Amino acid sequence: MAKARARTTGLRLRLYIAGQAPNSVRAVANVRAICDEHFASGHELEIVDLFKHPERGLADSIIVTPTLLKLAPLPAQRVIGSLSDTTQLLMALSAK
Amino acid sequence: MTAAEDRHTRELQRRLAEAEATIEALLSGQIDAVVDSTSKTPVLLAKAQDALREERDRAQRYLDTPDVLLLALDTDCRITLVNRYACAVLGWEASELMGRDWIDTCLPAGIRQELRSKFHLLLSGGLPLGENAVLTRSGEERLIEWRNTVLRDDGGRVIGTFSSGADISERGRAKAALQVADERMQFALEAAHVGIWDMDYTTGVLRWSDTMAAQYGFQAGTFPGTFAAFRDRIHLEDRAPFLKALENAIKTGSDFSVLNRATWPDGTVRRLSGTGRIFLGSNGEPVRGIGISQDVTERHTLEAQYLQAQKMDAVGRLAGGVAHDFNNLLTAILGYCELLLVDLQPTDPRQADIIQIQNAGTMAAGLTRQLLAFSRQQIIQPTLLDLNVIVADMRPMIERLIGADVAVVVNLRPNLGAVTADRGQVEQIIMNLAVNARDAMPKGGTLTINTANVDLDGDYTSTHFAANAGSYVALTVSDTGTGMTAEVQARLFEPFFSTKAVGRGTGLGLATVHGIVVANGGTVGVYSEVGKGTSLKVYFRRDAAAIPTEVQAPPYLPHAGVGTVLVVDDSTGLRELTRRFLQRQGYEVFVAASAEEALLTFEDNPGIDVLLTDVVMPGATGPELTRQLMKRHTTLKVIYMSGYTEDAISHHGIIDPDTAFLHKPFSSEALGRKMQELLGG
Repeated sequence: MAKARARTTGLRLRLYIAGQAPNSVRAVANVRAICDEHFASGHELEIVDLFKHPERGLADSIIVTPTLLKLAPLPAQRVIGSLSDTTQLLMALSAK
Repeated sequence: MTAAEDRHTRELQRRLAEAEATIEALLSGQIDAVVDSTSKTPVLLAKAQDALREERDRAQRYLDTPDVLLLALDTDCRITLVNRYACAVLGWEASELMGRDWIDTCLPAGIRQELRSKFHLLLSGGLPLGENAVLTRSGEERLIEWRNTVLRDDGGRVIGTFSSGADISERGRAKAALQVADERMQFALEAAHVGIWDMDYTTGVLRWSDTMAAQYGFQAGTFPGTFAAFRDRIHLEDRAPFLKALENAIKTGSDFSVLNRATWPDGTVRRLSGTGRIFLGSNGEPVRGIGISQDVTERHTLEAQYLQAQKMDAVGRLAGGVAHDFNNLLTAILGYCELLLVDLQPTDPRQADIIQIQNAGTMAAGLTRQLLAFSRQQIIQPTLLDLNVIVADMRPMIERLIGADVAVVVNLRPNLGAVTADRGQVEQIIMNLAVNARDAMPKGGTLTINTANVDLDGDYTSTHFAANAGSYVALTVSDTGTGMTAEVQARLFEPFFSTKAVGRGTGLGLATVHGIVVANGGTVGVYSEVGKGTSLKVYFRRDAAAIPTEVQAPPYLPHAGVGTVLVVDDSTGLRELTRRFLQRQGYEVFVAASAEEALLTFEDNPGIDVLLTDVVMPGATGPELTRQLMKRHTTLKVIYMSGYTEDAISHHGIIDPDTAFLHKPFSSEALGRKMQELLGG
């Protein structure tokens, strides 16, 4: 893991979803698409299904799904919803 | 503001922004779950639930696809999923089936063991397709065709199988029925020696049944399946008309029938009768052609033989008719010669001329007799015969018949036994054998005729099934000709079997010989060697009676006639001649031209002693006239005279030996003898 992170540009994301619920499915597709297009050289995306791991949501104070967390680089950002607004999402991910 | 206050303010702003974003996302429907604050677990929002339900319904609809059985099994072969259609087919509720062993619950006992071992293969992904019977709750069996796949978990471990199946019981039954019908059809066609062809015009592949291939001279399995290969076997002369008929059928998409010959590589030619149907596509091009073919060679040959037989029959009838009229003329010619010779002085120079006329007439009578023998319309009158006399009599005719390059040797056994047969038929037998012998010696040779007394014992008769032990007179006709193979010998006596060129032989010669001999209780033996010659041995039953010799015949005394005779004949010349013969011999003679006239004459002269009548006449026949007169004149004596008969005397053409009969042409002496026999001198 350490080696893999070293190779990335430092973008680390965590997406909380609720199983196969439609907005969750859409959010996964949207975040993958934008990462492949704009952060192809290196990124780390973790997808957490709250139905399977509800305890993980507590740690990050998740209230709704889908919720995307930008963990690194700081500042941390949080984007709520299906991540369909590419511009807003790109701004959040690029914020420094 | 302190740094702490500042951090606190920024945190509040962030939370507010986050709350706004959350609300906005909620309002725009982008949120599908909210974490419940008490249970700390996510709860799906109604909309998300609807969507999920929809998703599940769609999956269920898929599961409930009509006409498809869906079945999932775990690695222990327990049912983990079964759809509604599968339940309907099997007759179980889904809830009853879940968790039960598939093989023990739903398969017929007979295949459980086999299927259990197959299931392991299935788990390794080795059986993508399969077909087996399932057992319904009511005990009925259905045939299912399966498509199988392996189920794996996220880690790729096999957790079971998933199969979709189609109920093909009906298809299976239909297939079985079709197969039975197909086999039956195949058998019928094979048994009837009907060949089948099937042309796929889209690929150019021509398929033939083995029978069809055999008809065109191909060993089974060697027909290359091309139209060209077929066309090359069509007889050259028939190729163009065949192709034209086919082309026409292709143009119109209609049925066609053809008669054509096939030429085999070894030169064999067969006659074939074919029928076909062409199917056209939507663009008018031929798509498929199917048809049948029959070998009609034998039928064609039989037809030809039948025609030949008909022709021979017609020739025979014509010959018989001509011979009848001819006999009347010859009787007159010979009769008047006889009268002239009696009247002329022995020193008269004209006597020699008349004898020449008489000789020519006698030869013509012999020819007529041959014609009648050929047409088999001669009257059959079995008498005691000496074969030696007949052979000797026929020898000059045989020598003339067979030509100069064949020598004739006759060995006649002295003291030969007598046989009972019709002289005409015996002559016909000898003639047929002699002609065959001649035809077997196209380059000349020797024809030998032997006669012998033969006693056939059990040894001979046991190897010649047609013969009975006993005493026979054998007549052997041998040649030094080409001989016969065993195959030809086997078919020798078959009617219409002939090795002679078309139009030369009737194929009836030896068949006739055989028929006559067997009907007389005799038999025919054959001995032949290819390249050396043939011997045909005819065995006639030997008759113990002695042949009355010429000396024993009562001496003929002319001018001894006493009595009254009525001569009935429609031929004026013959009637007059007979009258003059009889008057010279001293008889009182009346004449009549028909049966009606004869009846009138009898009314006026009831004392007539003898009726001498022709057999075949216009109006009532001779036998009919006899029957009428015999009613009133029971003592009347009758003599028939005829050149031939058309069953007028008896249905079998055989005259009762007691019936007095005069063969036309007859001489004055023959007539006188007959009269003396009848009136007792």
